Parts: sequence; C-alpha cells; structure tokens
Amino acid sequence: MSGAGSVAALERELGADALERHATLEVDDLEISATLRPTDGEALSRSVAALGRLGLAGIVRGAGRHLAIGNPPERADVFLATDRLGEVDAFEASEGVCHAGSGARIADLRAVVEAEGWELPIDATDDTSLGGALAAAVLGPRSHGFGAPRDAVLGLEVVLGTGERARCGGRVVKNVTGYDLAKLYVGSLGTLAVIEGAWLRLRPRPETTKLLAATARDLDQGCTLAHRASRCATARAVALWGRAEGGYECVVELAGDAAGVAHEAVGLPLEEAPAERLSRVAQVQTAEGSDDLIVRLAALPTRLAGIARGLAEAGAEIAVHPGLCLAYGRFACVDAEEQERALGASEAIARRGEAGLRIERASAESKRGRDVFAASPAEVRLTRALKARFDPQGSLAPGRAAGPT
Amino acid sequence: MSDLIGALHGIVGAERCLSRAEELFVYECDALTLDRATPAAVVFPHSAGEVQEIVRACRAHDSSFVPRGAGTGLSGGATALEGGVVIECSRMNRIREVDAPNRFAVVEPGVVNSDLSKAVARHGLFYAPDPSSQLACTIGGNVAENSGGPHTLKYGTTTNHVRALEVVLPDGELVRLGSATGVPAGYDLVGAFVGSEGTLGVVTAAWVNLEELPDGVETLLAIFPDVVSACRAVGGIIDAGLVPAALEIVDRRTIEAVEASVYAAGLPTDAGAVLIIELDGLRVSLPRQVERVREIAAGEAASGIEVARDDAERQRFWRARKGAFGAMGRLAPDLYVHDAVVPRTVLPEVLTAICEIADRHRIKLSNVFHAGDGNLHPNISFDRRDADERRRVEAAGAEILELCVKVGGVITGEHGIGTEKRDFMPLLFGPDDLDAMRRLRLAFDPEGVCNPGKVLPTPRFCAEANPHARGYDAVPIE
Ligand SMILES: Cc1cc2nc3c(=O)[nH]c(=O)nc-3n(C[C@H](O)[C@H](O)[C@H](O)COP(=O)(O)OP(=O)(O)OC[C@H]3O[C@@H](n4cnc5c(N)ncnc54)[C@H](O)[C@@H]3O)c2cc1C
Repeated sequence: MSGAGSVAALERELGADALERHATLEVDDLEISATLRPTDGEALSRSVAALGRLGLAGIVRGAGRHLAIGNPPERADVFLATDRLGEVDAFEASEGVCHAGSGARIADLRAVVEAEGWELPIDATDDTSLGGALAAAVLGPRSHGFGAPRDAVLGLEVVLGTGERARCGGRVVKNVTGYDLAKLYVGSLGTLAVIEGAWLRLRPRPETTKLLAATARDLDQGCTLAHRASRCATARAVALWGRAEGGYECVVELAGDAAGVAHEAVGLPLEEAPAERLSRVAQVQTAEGSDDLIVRLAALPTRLAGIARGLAEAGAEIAVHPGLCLAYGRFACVDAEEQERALGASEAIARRGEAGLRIERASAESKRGRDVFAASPAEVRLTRALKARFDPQGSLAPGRAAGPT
Repeated sequence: MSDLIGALHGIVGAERCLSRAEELFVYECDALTLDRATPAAVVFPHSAGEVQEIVRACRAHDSSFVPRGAGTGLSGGATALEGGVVIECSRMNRIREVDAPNRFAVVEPGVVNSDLSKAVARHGLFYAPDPSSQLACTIGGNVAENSGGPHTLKYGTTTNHVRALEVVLPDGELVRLGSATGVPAGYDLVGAFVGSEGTLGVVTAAWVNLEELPDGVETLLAIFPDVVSACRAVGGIIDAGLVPAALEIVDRRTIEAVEASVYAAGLPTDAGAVLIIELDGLRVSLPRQVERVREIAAGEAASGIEVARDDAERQRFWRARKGAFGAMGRLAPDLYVHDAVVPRTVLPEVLTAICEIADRHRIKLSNVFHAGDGNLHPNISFDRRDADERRRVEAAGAEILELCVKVGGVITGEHGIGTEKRDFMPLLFGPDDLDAMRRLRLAFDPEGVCNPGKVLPTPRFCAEANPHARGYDAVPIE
C-alpha cells in the first residue's frame, strides 16, 4: 500500500479527526502529505499500532527542526506529530525537576523553570520541541556546560514501534533501577520509539553570565585560544567560528558565581560582547531551511585544529567546540557534484584526524550509498538488532538509523 | 574433569581456572551474602582474546557465564545463579593509556577504582566516580553497575564518565562501542550498556573521563541533634543554589560504630547525625559558599560546624564516612546494605518512617547516605544464621522499598537490581516497561547466556505481582 491508499486506510482505522492532510513536504526526497496528530499517549499508541498493522511507516515530527539528520528512510507514509503532547505538566521547584510532554517548546519550558531560579540544561533553539531535542540529541554551544541532552533526562515515557507504551527511569536524580533505556531512546531519531514525555533534571541558574569574544589572528591562534578557554571552570560555551575569507572569532560564555566568573574573565584575552553572538555560532550547524551540506566531526581536542584547518581549506564555514570534541563544517553547495566533492573532502579529513564523521544535512542522493553515522560494522549490526526488537514492523522511519554496511 | 573445564584449561591453563568445591566456595556470592549459588568454574583471563575464547567455550558447552570484578557488588550481580562460569576480570588490570591533554584514560576492567585516580594524580587529574568501596571495586564492576559515590552529586555517576567500551558480546565477538570523544554518532550504545549489570557482555576495556583536580576544596563537618535536622540543612543548601561536591549524612548508630573502630574520627558519639559537606571549585568562589553553608547549618540547629584546616583533617572527616561499612562489622556478623532513592524533599519523613519499620521488625538499623541525591542506605546488621532474624530483615527491607516507591522514589540508586531486587521491579514498572528492557537484553544476548536470572523478573511473576504497576506517581506519606 502506498500514497493516497495508505492515508485512506489510516483514516479508516483511526477516524478522520486523527489525520490532517496538507501540502506535500519532503524529507530526504520522500513526499509526505498527511500527519497523524495524537492528543495523548493512548492516541499516540493507537497511531503507531495502526501503522504496524497496515504495514505503513511514519516519521516522528516535533517542530520539524532536525528532520535532516539520519540516513534516508526507506519509506514514510505520514508524519507522526507530537505537537499536541505539549504541556509542561509538573514542575517541582524544590527538587529541581520537571515533566513535560514531548511537544512542549523549549522556550516555554525555559520560561517556566527560569521563573523559579532553575535553568533547563538543553541547548536547543527556542521553537524546537522537547521530544525533537531529545530524539536528535541536539547539541549547541552551551552543551559544553550543560552536558548532552541525555544527561538532563531522568525518565521517559515512550511508545515503542509496536505501539506499546513503556516507561523507563524515574523522576529522582539518581537511579539504576533496570536498564538505562533512556540513553538508548535519546538520540535514536524516533526510530525505536516515539517519546511521549520526559522527566528532566534542572540546574540552578547561575548568579552571573558573561559573554566574551575576540577576533582571532588566524585559525591556529583561534583554536589555541578556544582550547584554553574551554579549560575554565566557569566556561558554559566555548567556540571558534568563521571562514577563511571572513576571519575567525572566538566566543566564550562564562557562567557561575560572580567572583569565579570575574576571576576567569580577567585571565582571558577577550572582550565583553552581546549575548546574541552565541546564536550566530549555532547557525553554522542549523540545517533547517537550507540546502547547504553540513558535516559534524567528533575528534579529540588536540586534533580539532587540524580538522578545522582541513574543513576551512575545503571551503567550509566552521564552528569548533573544543569542550564538546566537535567541529562543524558548512558548505554552500549548489549542485550534486559539489556536494559529493565536499563530502569526499570531509571523509578524508575525518580519516586523517581520526574523527567520527556524521553528515548532519545533505541531499538524499548524496546520503544514499553511505552511512551518515559512519558506524562500524559491529555497531551497525547492534543498531539493526535493536531496531528489530523495538520496531519489528519497521513503523518508525525504517532505514534511518542503520545505513548500508 | 568435564569437557567444559578441559576447554577452559586449554585457554587459561589449570592455574587460572578454579573448579574444586573448596575453591569455588568464596565465589558463591558477592557482598550480598543473602543469595548464593556455586559456579561451575572460575576463570581469570589476562586479555580480551582469552575472554573471547572463554565465552565461545561456554557457548560450545551450553554453559552460561557471569562477568565478575572484585565481588563487592551489593545486589548479587556476580553470583552464578545457574551454575555457569564466572569470568573474573581482576587480572586484566592494566591502565592501557593515559591521554592527559585530552583528559581520558583507557583502562582494563580489573583496574581498581582508586588506583586510577592515584595513577593520574601526577597529571593533576582524577577519575570522578568514587564508590565507598573504591579501594577494592573495579572499573568493570563500576561500568556494569553504573556506580556512584559521595561525589556523584556534582560529578554524576559512572555513565557520565564512560566514553567508549571494548566488549566481548555474548556471541563471542569483540567489539568497540563509541569513540574516545564520547560523542555518539548514532544510537548511544555505550549509554545503554553502562548499568546493564553484566548481562549484555564482558567489558574488556573502558575509555573513561579524567577530570582536572579542583583549584580549591573545602570540607565541612556539621553536627546535628538528629537526622531530620541534618536532612533539612541539605534541603537548605540545595535551595540556596549551591552545588556541593558531596553532601553525606552519618547517623548516630553509625557514628558509635565508627568511633569504636579503627576508623575512629573523633566524632561526638552523642550527636544525632553529622553532615559532611564538600565544596570544590575555584578558590575565589569558596569562601562565600562556606559562609552560606555555615548559616544554613546553624539555622537548622547544628551544634557545631568545623571546616577542615588541612588535608589531614579533611581525610579524618571522610574516614567517618568511608569507614562506616567496615565499622559496622562490629555490630553483627552480617550487614545488609540497602539502597533506594527518594525525592530529596521527603528525606526527613522517609527516614522517620524507616526507623519505625526497623523498630516494628526489631532489627538493628543504621543510616549513612548520599543525602544530596536523596540516595538512602539503610544498613541492617544481622546474623544470617538466625532464620527468624533473617526473615525480619527481608520483610523490613521489602517494606522500605515499598515506602520509597510510594513517595515517588526508586528501588536502587547505585547498587543495581541483580538478584536482590529483581522481584521488586514490578513495584515500579509494569509488564510493558519490563518488556521494553527485555528487548534491549535480547538484542545483545538473544540466547540468554550472559549472567542469566538477573535484573528482570520472569514475565509471569511480573504480571502476577502487580499487573497495574504504573510506577512513580508521587503519593504523600500519611
Ligand atoms: C563497603 C561497600 C561500599 C560500597 N559503596 C558503594 C558506593 O558508594 N557506590 C556504589 O555505587 N556502590 C557501592 N558499593 C557496591 C559495589 O562496590 C559496586 O557496585 C562496584 O561497582 C562493584 O564492583 P566490583 O568490581 O566489585 O564488581 P562485582 O561485584 O564483581 O560485579 C558487579 C557487577 O558487575 C558485573 N561485572 C563485573 N565486571 C564486569 C565486566 N568486566 N564486564 C561486564 N560486567 C562486569 C558483574 O557481573 C556484576 O553484575 C559498595 C560495596 C561495598 C561492599
């Protein structure tokens, strides 16, 4: 079954209200023109189960900010939207924990917790959905201080590919009760389960934050400076960004108690700068609304300068985050041939720098035939084994997690 | 000699394979002495290659196998329930690499936790997870249990410090999960493996984070009239937005045991409880934090607050905490170290209720715990040869777990499920929740040969025990 037939079958199964038809949207050149928008966990479970029964597949969609990540799915009939599961429904300020539905906007969550002196340690853009930020394991410059999204998750409610609802973890800050499935679901791009809601651990809001920046003399000096800044105890974000023609800027955010921040700020050869400068760094890795090729290389800090140089020489705009062991490269590629060349260059840079390459955004054509995660054969085998257990019918973006070996 | 033992001799030689009853006796249990089973053999591999061969030999002879470190586990994880082969990793104890500039080390599973910090101290670095058993327990065991320790409050548990793993899977394949950067590209297989209690494979190496030694450390010891006021002080410190490195409470019975032992730290034996507060970070930041902590403790009726003047005094404060379990050996022949977590704000009520449970069951209870995380360790001293006392200990333990779940907590914060709490899993999780966990296990070990019988109750038991379990809904204590 495909196209209109599949959508009609879903409508018959779930009722017309459950499904919204819309203009065609593309994900990795798969065309999707209908969205299931469940209003609660039960409806989400029914939706996923129906996909399985009908042999259909869905792509989980939060705010749609990170749909470019992953291998091209083999098939997709509908989106499975989480936007109606969007409430911040528990906030225990005295414990520093909160619970929200998967569709909650990051900005809304931030507003709720900041009002009580806490901060949400997830660096995603304001309109990202919580579920999307978790499923894509979104990292931003502030992840240096926050940690990765997985570190913020205490417990999850999910709907497996089978349609079963399941929970893992809890709402207390320390917990080894059973397998740590939350680690598996976070970053799995909605291919094992759909995140329905999450208990999150918050951090006390820092007393002071200070954004500092300086133009680097050249790429090497910028990398050295960023590396040094990343060792500061109060560093919350440290990045070097720019491109060969325009020059490079080192941007550092310090956060903590006033005495500590002041002490460390004095030791860095940087000037105070407006807070928005950090958003500009984040744009280097933002895939949404662009046809650029974006790659992410994970490498040891001492290798990042070489990797940044390679990417810059290949024509990319770069953002290097030494505290995260990451360098992003953004290539403005107009045609397939250029994209292929840039990918080839990135692969060679990754090999030389012993880095892990992940393709963040590329045309479906360029992605096909490679594994965008560049996983080892053993990891691909385990990825497939997990997929087969959690989503045996292939209802959730089949093919996205494990590429060709 | 059975075929299996012969095959194991062929791999490691007779001297690194125990199979006689008297040799196996000490491997019947780990530090949870309540559950026991005799393994078929215990082997001591020296390399990942030998582990692979051992696993393959077990498979060829239809035997299960159980990875083991130092055997300090407190939930029965290293016990060979089905009489399989124990793969004792303590002799794989090399630190393969220390990469100081990139802040990580590659260690074999048998490296003792505290040895790693000692080895990297000359680089100004340390390994943060510090279980109280750190002088004995191994990194392999820590990875398997996702162990924590007093400094978990600030630094996180083992999972926050493992970047990559080398593992022999249950089918005998040697694989590397993750990379030295610690950034997963696809599924976070390392995250899923840590805390899997030796059921997904045998760790043969781990890439772990090394932290910079803090610029400054201040350790305070506050003396309280009772545990409840010490708990309130903990709440006050967290509410003030401080993130101490550690917040540990030791109660009166533990103080008495410690002071009567070789770990004596000069604590007042008439105190109801002491709270150890460790603050670390930039030296310029610490004086104000120390002052704030002093104010909060004084506001909760602390009768005395000492700030360690030097490292020797700091060690003295910690001796009271770290020596507590050893000192309890004086109270009775056996010690049942319980482990559960509750929301921090209900600690005072929960501790009061736990004491009531202990009194009702006439058991000897003492508390020494990671208060900042809400991680309780009600310790029960008993004599396992006394059947009636043993029954009362088990009944009290079960009630304590039920209480913790009822207030929104969980049944283990760091010791794991193993055999000890396997049948309590339905208190917290429903059948579908447990089924999801089973899916993970089956993806790694479809034939169930790796440490069988641990973590997950049988599906039938689980459905019968609590078909409606939905878990951690908070219910206030009456
Ligand atoms: C006095 C005392 C104090 C303690 N304090 C703490 C504390 O503060 N915090 C805390 O978290 N724990 C604590 N523990 C519990 C215990 O020390 C930890 O769980 C520790 O991590 C166990 O390490 P081990 O080497 O002894 O492992 P073992 O007990 O030998 O094994 C534990 C588990 O790990 C598995 N395992 C061991 N090696 C491997 C391997 N190479 N690959 C795969 N699986 C493996 C085993 O199968 C088993 O399931 C304490 C225990 C004692 C006795």
